[in-house]
Amino acid sequence: MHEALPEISAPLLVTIGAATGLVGALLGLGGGVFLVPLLTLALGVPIRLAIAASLVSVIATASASATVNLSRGLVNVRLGLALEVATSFGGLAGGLAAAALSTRQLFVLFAVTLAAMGVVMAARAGRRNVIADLEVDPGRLGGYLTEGGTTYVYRAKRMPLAMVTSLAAGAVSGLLGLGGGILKVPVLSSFCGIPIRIASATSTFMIGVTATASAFIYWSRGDIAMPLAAAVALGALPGSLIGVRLSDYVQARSLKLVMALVLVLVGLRMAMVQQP
Amino acid sequence: MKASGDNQGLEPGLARALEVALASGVALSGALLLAGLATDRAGLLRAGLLLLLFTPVARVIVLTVGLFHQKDWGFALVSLWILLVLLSSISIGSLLG
Repeated sequence: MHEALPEISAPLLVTIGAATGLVGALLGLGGGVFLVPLLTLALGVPIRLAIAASLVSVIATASASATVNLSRGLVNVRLGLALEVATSFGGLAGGLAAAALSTRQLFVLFAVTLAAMGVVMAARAGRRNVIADLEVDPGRLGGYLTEGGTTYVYRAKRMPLAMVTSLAAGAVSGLLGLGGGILKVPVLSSFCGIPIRIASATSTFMIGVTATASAFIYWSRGDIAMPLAAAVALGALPGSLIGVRLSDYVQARSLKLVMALVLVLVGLRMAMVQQP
Repeated sequence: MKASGDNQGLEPGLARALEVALASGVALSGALLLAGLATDRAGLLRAGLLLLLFTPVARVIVLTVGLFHQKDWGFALVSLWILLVLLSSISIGSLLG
C-alpha cells in the first residue's frame, strides 16, 4: 500500500529539517507546518510519509526546545500536565484515524488547517497578553514570569476551554503531523490568562508527548520512512535550538504577518493537489 | 526580550532532571542518526529514531517519579495517567505492526 519514496539526497533533507525547525521554533509553531508542504509539493514525497517524518521532527524540535525553556523556568509544568491528559488522548485518536482518510482528504484537511492558522496568526500578530497584578495569588495552575526586569503573576482561567482546545490540538497533531501549538498558544494566552511566553513554552513541553502518542502508531504502520525521517529530524535538532534562542531578539510582528500570508498561500496550493 | 520564570514552582532539582532526560535523549539519538546517515546503516537509523520516540516517554517517567517523590499526589497521578496513554499507544502500535 505504500507509495514510492523519491530519491532525495540526505544533506538536502537535513538542510530542510534545519530550516523548517528554525522557523518553527522561532514562531513557536513547530516545523511541521512548513515541512509537510515542502516535502509533498516541492519534492514529491507521499503525504503520509511526509506527515510521519514531520511527527518525528516535531518530537526532535519540541524535546530540544523544552530543555532551553525548562532551564529558563518558562514551562508551567503542572498546567502542561493537566492539558497533556487531553492532548495525548487526541494524539492517539488522531494517529489511529489518519489511516481511515484518503490522500486527497489529508491534503484538503491540511490545506484548511494551514489557512486557518494563517488567519489566526495575522489576527494576533501585534497582541500582547494582559498580565495580572502582583498581589494576586497564582493558584494551583498559575505562576510567575519575569520579563524586561519586571515580575508578573498570572492565574489560569477557563480550564474547560483549554482542555477542549488541547484535545483538538492533539487530534490535529496525530492526523497531520503538526505540533498543535498554533491552536493552544492563542487560546491559552487570549482566553485563559497565560502569558504568551509561558503559553508557548508550556505548549512546546506538551508537544513531545502529544506527537509521541501518535508516532508509535505511524511507526507500526511502517510510515516512518527511514532515511527521510532520520535526516529531517537530525536537521531539526540544531535548527530548533537556534530558533528558540533567536525568538528573544527577533521582532516577531512583521515576520508573523509574512508567515501568515505564506501559510494561506501554501494552504491554497495544497488544496489544488489532485490525488486520489 | 529575555524572559524567565520558576516553571510554576516545580522543584529546581526535578526541572533539572527533566532537562537532563530530554537533552540526553536528543543528543544520543542525534548522534545515532548522524552516524547512521554517514555510514548508510539502517540499524543505526532505526535505533536513533526509536530513541527519539522514547525521549518524551523518558521525560514523563522522570516527572511521574519526581512528583510521587515530592508527595504531590494529584499531579503524580495525572502524570502516571499520561504515561499509561503513551504505553497504550506503544502496545496498540505493536498490535498493528
